[in-house]
Amino acid sequence: MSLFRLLHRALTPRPLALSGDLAVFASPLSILPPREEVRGFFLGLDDIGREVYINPAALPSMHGIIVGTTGSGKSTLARHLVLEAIEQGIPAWVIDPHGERSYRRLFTIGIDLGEDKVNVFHAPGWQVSELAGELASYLEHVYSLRGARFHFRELLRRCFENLSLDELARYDHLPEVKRLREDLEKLHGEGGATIDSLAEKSMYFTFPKLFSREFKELASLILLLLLQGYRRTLGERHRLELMVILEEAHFLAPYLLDLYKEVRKFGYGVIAVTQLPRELDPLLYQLAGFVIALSGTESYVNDISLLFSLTPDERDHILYKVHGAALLVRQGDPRPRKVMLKPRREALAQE
Amino acid sequence: MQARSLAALLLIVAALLLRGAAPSLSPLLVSLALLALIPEVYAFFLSLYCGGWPLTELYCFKSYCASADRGGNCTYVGVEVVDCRHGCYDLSEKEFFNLSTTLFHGGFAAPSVDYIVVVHRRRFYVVLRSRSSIDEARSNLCEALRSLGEALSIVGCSWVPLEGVQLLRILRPDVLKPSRKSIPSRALVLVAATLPLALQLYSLVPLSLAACLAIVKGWSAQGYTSVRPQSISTIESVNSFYTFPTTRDILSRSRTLYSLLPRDSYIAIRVEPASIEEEQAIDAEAYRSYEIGTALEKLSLIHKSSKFFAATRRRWERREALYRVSGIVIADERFKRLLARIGIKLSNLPVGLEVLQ
Repeated sequence: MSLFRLLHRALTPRPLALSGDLAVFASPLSILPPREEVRGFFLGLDDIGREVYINPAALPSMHGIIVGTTGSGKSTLARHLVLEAIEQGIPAWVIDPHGERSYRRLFTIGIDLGEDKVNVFHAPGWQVSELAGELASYLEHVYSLRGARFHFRELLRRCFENLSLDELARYDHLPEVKRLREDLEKLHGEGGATIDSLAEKSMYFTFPKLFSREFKELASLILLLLLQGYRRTLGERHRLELMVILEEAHFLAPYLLDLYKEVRKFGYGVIAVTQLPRELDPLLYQLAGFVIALSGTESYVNDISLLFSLTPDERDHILYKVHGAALLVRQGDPRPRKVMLKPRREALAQE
Repeated sequence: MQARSLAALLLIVAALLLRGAAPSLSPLLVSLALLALIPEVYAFFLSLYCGGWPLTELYCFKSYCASADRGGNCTYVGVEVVDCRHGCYDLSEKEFFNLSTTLFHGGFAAPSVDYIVVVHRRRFYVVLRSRSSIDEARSNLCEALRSLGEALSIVGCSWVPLEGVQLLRILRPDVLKPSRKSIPSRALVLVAATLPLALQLYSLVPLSLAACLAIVKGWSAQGYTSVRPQSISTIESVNSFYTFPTTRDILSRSRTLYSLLPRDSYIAIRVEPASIEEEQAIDAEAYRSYEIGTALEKLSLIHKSSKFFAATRRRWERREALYRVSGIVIADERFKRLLARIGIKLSNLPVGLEVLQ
């Protein structure tokens, strides 16, 4: 050993350390953060200040869920995602039963379902009997008419075949059928917008204030079924070409479950926005490509914790921070990501 | 310990020679002994002469780098740990402790290979260095890489081998810049080397010797300094070694580091598995200082014994392996204070850059 090496060895401190000491500062487990996307829709910053993105192209399912109690910022986040999508050239729909003005100002085209008509009978991608059967099965849930699906199926099939609602009018003595006909007449118009013209543009769907909950559910359901058929005609798509924000999504929970199961690769994603995790089927959380849980009360956080087996840190993140704190659960990520959301200024609600 | 033994040996030889065959050698040996005891003087002159700490030139090829100096050849290969399935942010205290120790016990155990852990811009690299001849180095490094890769896989980390240019960027990072040689500083070292001899001030010969050695070492070497405002600090000691931390404490310190590690920081730590003799010396030190401390009723020795005893217990009860570490931290002062809080004592000397040699 040369004199210099001896000297340099004497100069360099070589303290002792045990593996437990090294675990703190020389282990990749204490240094490396989980891998993060670098493209897609920007969400905010994670707990070490990195930018967090949702990249629908990298997720096995393009559908997602936003959950959070009142005032936690669900709609702000949804508006932010709409703006991100539009900026990236992806059209976005918002189906909003509340008719929030903050949404409306983001769009140049707004449709008041019930006043502006949609051509319900123009249903590309569906066979008449198939569409009638699907619609009838969900109508049972919408109108709380257990056991009526086969009658409705037959009636609707005839309506779709004849391109007219007259078939329903023959049964006006039955209040359930009359109600359905009236609701469909509010929505349908012979010269109304067709689904292929609607699906190409960003637009905002809402309802006049005094319309019933059933009508809102029916209209949203028909829109989504028509969209599903239309997207099917375009064939498989592996990148996001249309984003749909569905407010108060628990109204359509049974439909969403089927949608999330069946339609994963047709180039559109439905982001369900709801207040409480229990309002949706737990299976939806397993099928969704991503779930963003915003902050909320203790019982709400307990439910989220049960769904995703949160650690105490993750639980505290959405329990004690109010605005902007969220957990992002993505398929493929080992753990939920703690995020502080950074919505665009235009997405914030304005007085 | 080694420097102190060497100094003692040199002093004994100097004393023997004083009245013996070569009395003129005695001052030189005494100077060398003093230099071994206070090598910081040499470090000061060397930094002054080179304008920073000298590092050897690296020659990088497709998958490895090599350096050659008077001390011999070095071959470097490395891997980047790209991603880990879990980390301190989601593991329980026991899982974190077990996985981390598994990694060190399995992956950092090859003989005749040095492991340099580099954390740069929040990325994690392990560089392996062999001091043997090229052929021997190849087989040593291949074997060490294989066991490191297996250990990383066991703990759920994926990794990619580094190319030569990437290795160069890690071992000569952009937070270090080649220093400019300042003529006044060089002149000062030259004066320090010659003046005591010219004026026959024999009491200053050690100073002169340190300056001479610095000139010889730094003659053709390139010095490196940190890019401002960050500064280079050397790891002085790992204080947590002398404690018996719970696994919860280890996890909580890891999480603190994970949360507060600045993006622009650079950490390089050389990890060498300790020899069996060193391991036994820990136990021996614990028992010896206890026995002497209680015999002489010296509280300081009893306290020292308890510190070593904690380390001994960790070795025997938790099966923690012993390592020698050396390294540098290039970061802002706030982060260095944080490191001190989690048990890593730093000094403001650049000598730790030695780990990148």
